[in-house]
Amino acid sequence: MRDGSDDELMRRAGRGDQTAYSRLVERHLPRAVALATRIAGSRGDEEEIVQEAFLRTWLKAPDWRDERQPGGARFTTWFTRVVVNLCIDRRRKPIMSPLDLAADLPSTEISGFDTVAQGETRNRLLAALAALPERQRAALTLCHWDGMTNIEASEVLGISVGALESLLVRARRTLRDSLADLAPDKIVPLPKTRTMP
Amino acid sequence: MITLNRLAEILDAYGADPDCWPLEDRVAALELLAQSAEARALAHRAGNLDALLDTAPLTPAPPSVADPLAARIVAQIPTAEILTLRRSAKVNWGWPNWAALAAAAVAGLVVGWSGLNIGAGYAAGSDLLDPLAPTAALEDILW
Repeated sequence: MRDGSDDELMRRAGRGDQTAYSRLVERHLPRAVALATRIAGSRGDEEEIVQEAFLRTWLKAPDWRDERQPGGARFTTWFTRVVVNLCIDRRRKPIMSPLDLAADLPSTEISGFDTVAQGETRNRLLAALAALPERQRAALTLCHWDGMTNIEASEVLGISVGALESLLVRARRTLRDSLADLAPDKIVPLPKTRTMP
Repeated sequence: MITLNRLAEILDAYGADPDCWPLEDRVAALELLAQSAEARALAHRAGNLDALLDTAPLTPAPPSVADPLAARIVAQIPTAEILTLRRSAKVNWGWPNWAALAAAAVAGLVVGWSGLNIGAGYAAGSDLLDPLAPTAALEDILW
């Protein structure tokens, strides 16, 4: 069986079914890499983060409880929390400055189809984003780019909705101030793809 | 109706798209926007930042990155034997740590006590080390 709910795949993986685990990996890996790249700050260790997150998924599978069970969780929420926490832990060991980070963006962050203006604007944005405290960056990534609701993002970060809102306010105000010279007419918005497929 | 300050917080947190606002505030915030030019100016400012953020959408890893990584991840699944070893290693780590902690505490006490005594010995023969030597009264208490 190729498809199945995340919970069903977790239960099968918990019984040692590698095909079910493989399906889970295929389903969640592209988004996990994108999240890790954005939140960990494009340091090139996003693949290690994602590998570790999936290893933890395999280890968790035998004891998996879905959201209908006591102490259980929705798989996406649990898995995103693992990825975000790994990103934040890595990020606490700084090895590059924000400018280095912006100069060393992986191919998933800038495509060959960008115009020069888009590329410059995006580089400035990503550099400013990399300079934010990690929890602010994670909150903004989950809510603005990943399309999570405030309730979902607060569950992932393990904080109240009020605390999440405070992180978002500080993140957006900092970005607005540091990118104030980018006048709206210089901004070339891309087609709106806020929610990951 | 909500206050202009609350609307500013909502816009600063979630941006100008009402779909992203908290459900409980959405209707009241839209009413205020309809009535207040100042509110609309705040929303316009938030919309500018949204447009800037939208220049860097979160793009899923392409197959050229995702497929080989997925293959590596699945190939590296720990076997049942390795998992058993990990679990037993965890058990075995637990109590030597306590033993090591207790041993370190005892060693610290021994070194501390003997250190005071050594200091007293040096103090007897050298003026330079006098400031490090315990007083005679302290020696009486300790020994």
